[in-house]
Amino acid sequence: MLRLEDVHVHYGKIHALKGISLEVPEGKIVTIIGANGAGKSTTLQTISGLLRPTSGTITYDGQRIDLMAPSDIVKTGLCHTPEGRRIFPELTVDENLSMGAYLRSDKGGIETDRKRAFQWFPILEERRTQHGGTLSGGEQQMLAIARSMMGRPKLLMLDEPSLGLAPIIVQQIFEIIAMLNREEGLTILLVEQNASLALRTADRGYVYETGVVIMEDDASALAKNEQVREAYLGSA
Amino acid sequence: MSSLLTPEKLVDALSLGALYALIAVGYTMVYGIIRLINFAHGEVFMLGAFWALLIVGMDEPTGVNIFVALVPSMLMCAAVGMNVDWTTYLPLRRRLPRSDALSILSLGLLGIGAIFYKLTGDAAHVWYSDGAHTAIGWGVIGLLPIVIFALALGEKLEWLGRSLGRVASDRLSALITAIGMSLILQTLAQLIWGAEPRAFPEASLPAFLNESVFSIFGARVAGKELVIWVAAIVIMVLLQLLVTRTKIGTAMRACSMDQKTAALMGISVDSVIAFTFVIGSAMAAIAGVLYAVKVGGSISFRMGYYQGLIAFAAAVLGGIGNIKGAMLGGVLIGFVQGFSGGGNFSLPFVVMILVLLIMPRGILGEPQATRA
Repeated sequence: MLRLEDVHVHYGKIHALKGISLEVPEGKIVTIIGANGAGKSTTLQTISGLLRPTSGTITYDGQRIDLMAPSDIVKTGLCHTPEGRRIFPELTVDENLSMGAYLRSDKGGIETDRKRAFQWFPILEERRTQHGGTLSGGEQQMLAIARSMMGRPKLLMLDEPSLGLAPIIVQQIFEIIAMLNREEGLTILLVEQNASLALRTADRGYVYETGVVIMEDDASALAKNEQVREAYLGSA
Repeated sequence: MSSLLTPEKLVDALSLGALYALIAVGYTMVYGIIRLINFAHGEVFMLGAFWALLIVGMDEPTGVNIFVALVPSMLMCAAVGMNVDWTTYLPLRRRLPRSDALSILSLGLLGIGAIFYKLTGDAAHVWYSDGAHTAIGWGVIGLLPIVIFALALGEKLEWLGRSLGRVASDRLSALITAIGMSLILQTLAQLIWGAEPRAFPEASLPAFLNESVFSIFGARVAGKELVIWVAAIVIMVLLQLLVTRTKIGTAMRACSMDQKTAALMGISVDSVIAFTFVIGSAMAAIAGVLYAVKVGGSISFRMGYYQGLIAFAAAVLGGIGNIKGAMLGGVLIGFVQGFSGGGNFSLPFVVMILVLLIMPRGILGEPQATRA
């Protein structure tokens, strides 16, 4: 469904991605794990068009997207929930959700999806007239996912959804992520610091080290791999 | 000196306040979204008056009513505002390779503009005078080395731009570009229409504008003052509804908070910015026409410079980036100007500085902490 081939990205003189190739099959959850600064977020930002690859190709649904503007990439059904949630702080919860549905004009459908989001995250319905900036970290992450889902994406890219959240909230959010994949058939590309959680949720995993993929395998196999356990799972 | 507070001055202050508010909102909306003081905004205000003047007749009255001319003037100004963004600020924002070259060029043009302005502003009051010829001569002499430089160095120019860019930050080059754009538009207006101040022909002004409509505290209120008040109130209410209740308005606010995330929502940020320029410029056009209706014989290439800067002070005073702040600042500065007799160019800035000393972000400016 989504395929990166030999993608290189530079920030000025820094060579951030050194020939990344990866594939996200339809209906699956694929995760990218690795240390800070390995290029995980850079990969997502390049896919969503915020960064331009210096070489290599990105195809989605058989269409090249690496030269498209971010707003056109969203139109193809690919949505990116950025690191740090990036809720619009001075827009209300409702307005944040409306921005997620910016490209749609079917008012009835949008309202149905808003109700659907409130079913997943009931706390958001209670807070709907509050400014996004006043929500707690966990609520903001819920809102970020709900906002992305308002555009009815086929593929969702999540960047560090567990960052800075209490374990119980993380649990809740990952249950929703798994549910979206199982029941809505959503394809997910997940970037996550918490490697054990990510590998438990995902079908397939890629391990990054300083801009290159050093390993790729089924998530369950990676979770058992000695090298991965030592480096990322905190157990020898 | 007559009494400081007279009802006549109150009427005048209210009208000036309404007009400054209309202009100030344009500065503040653009600043809110791209963090740039669009110094060319005052020139859009000036062009608003000139487009209307062209339609109602610059030399011979065409018989067109000034309120009919207002609509095409708004459209023209909207187009100018949008194009100022597209041709000048957009390349700088995107850091296209040519943007470095462009900022060098605009620096050059700024110099030329300054020479023009100095010579023609002081020495000559009509563009075809000797002083203006000298200025054009200097301009060509100034432009020539830049063109030769650009042609000869070609690709190297980009390198030079980058080196300069290390000295001047991106925002500084954008700011200088904005000042350059302002001077370019002023100079063009002077070259095309001359330096002599003009007024709308009597035939274009409906009679009620100068008739007394009613009176407050014994001061007669002319039709034109009433038109300014009503227009300003209606436009401000519409603007507030646009920004808070519509999808595009919400997108404008979203872009002012976080452009990257807005882009991830599928919002075309450049279109939203263009829309902001369109709205602000159309409002400036209305202000330009109404100002020229209120103050007879005020249409000149310099009106945007003076009134624009005063409105800019109003926007800063109210809290730059805040629409309600710009409205409030406009009214306050209007009162300062109205009660001081109107002709003092420095007083609004004195007031602005005094307010900023107490409230560094302006009256309604948000504290830094709420910005992500």
